[in-house]
Amino acid sequence: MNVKKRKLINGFGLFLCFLTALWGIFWLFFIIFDVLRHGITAVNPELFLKDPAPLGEEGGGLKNAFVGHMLITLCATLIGVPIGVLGGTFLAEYGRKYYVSRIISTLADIMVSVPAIIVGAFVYAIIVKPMQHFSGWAGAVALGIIMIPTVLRTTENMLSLIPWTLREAAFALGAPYYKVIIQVVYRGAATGILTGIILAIARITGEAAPLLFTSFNNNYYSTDMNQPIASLTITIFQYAMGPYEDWHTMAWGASLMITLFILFTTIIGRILIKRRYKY
Amino acid sequence: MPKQKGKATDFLFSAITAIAAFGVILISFGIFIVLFKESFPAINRFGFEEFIFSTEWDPVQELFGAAPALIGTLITSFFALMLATPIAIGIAIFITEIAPSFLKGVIGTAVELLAAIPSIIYGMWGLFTLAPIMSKYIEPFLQSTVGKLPLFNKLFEGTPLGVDLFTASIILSIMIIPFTASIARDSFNLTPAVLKESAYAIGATKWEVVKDVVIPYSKLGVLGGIGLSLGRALGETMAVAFVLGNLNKIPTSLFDAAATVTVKLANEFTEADKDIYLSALYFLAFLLFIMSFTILTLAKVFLLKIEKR
Repeated sequence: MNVKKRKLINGFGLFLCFLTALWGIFWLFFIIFDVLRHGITAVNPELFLKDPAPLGEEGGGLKNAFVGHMLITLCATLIGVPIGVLGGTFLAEYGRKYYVSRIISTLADIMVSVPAIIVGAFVYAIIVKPMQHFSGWAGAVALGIIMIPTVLRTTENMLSLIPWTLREAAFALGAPYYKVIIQVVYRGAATGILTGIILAIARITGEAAPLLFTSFNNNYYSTDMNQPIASLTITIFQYAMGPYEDWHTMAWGASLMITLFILFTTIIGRILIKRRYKY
Repeated sequence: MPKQKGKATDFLFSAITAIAAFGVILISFGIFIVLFKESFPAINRFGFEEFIFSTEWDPVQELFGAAPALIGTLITSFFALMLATPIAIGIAIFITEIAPSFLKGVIGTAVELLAAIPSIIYGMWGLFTLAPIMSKYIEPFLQSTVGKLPLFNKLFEGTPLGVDLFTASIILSIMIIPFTASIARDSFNLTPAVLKESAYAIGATKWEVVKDVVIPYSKLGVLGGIGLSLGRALGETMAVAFVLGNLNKIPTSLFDAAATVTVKLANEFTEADKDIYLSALYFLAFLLFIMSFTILTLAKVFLLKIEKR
């Protein structure tokens, strides 16, 4: 029969699949290599230690953007993590039998993928408009909102992995539920929750769209969260679209730092979770 | 006494967690209501249908129509999906069925790292590296080969500048590969071994097993993954903002600059000096939110169906 032909088709099909895997990996390395190649020329102490030079002058760095970005990310984490972890606790513990918990969980899954720019527009309407000016807080709230569903879902999953017998053992000692959660369940799921938080921070570090209309940008060094504040991603956008060669170089430098940070944290997160939960 | 105190604290703690959880509902509905409220002046003035089908976008004369932006969003997402779906499925097949076990994790992680790279980096790289390559080599090549065919010549018309729908779609397709790939991989893994083994037992080749057993069995999951990717593609902002040019014109060729809903928002939101201008932009955001929310919900429904199985 046509076994030969079928074998040929088999080999061809499998080879195509192999090529698709190469295609995906090719782009990953192309992008990382390219960011490295361009970015490495821009990385010097000045990039971190100096503020942008006035137009027309040589030199300068992005200290304002680095500091601003860290501030926004830190505040966003302080907003997003507690709400996410506590919300996830409700879904996995107190509310695990309610139908509404399933709905919240599904909704959170959807909200993870909702366009980030929409969140920016939302925060513009509820914070920037009433305050009548852009502010670092608005940016932090926008990023915090993006963080909540991710942290909430990982917390829920990680808490559900803790066996019920463990909780029952604590109940049997007469511990109230909140003590069981905090001292037994959280402790068991700590690595998992921490990984979720790390991955969520990695994700918001690279976000630019929600910051466009919230924290806006600032060419000067500022740590006042009540005022527009510079961020790396918005600076990259502005500098890359700008006409000057040294702006482009600095944008590449900032891109390299962000990419390295994100790849590093993502890989750390994955290793942590692999060690804790061997699937 | 201590027992009483424990009960009160427990109630307090449960209440706090409940409030945090309901925060998700509050935010989702909040976004819906706020976007609707902000776009209300524009809805009132232009009406739903007129806004969607009108091609004018003239802030000076206060004429706003969403057609070019909506079409730009649909075209880029559609082409990105057409490119990314077969590749993502191929990757999932490679990981689950072909690769030796030491490669599985490595390739899986590498592909998922594509999703970790922030969109602004894709944009930067697209503008400075991919766009020049496109305009110098790939687009002229396409014009001189595929572009000569009768049906395709319209698609590949115009001067290849690199800043166009084609480049944007390619970048989008790379960005969404991991979403389809990882969900397709998970659903392929759910195919019962017995099913596959019985196909092998009657002499099927590996390719036939994949094509006739694994894919039909997990098509719901793959569809869910595609829906998730589509939802992502519709809302992607920074990567396309760099390489699309924000040109308010209905594109006729893949080599035209264009605008998408997100690009329009990113470029014009902070420039909107009139209330009706801002409101029109909110109307765009509202439409985008409804589109992506609907598609993501559909995708989630598909995925929940598999979980039940």
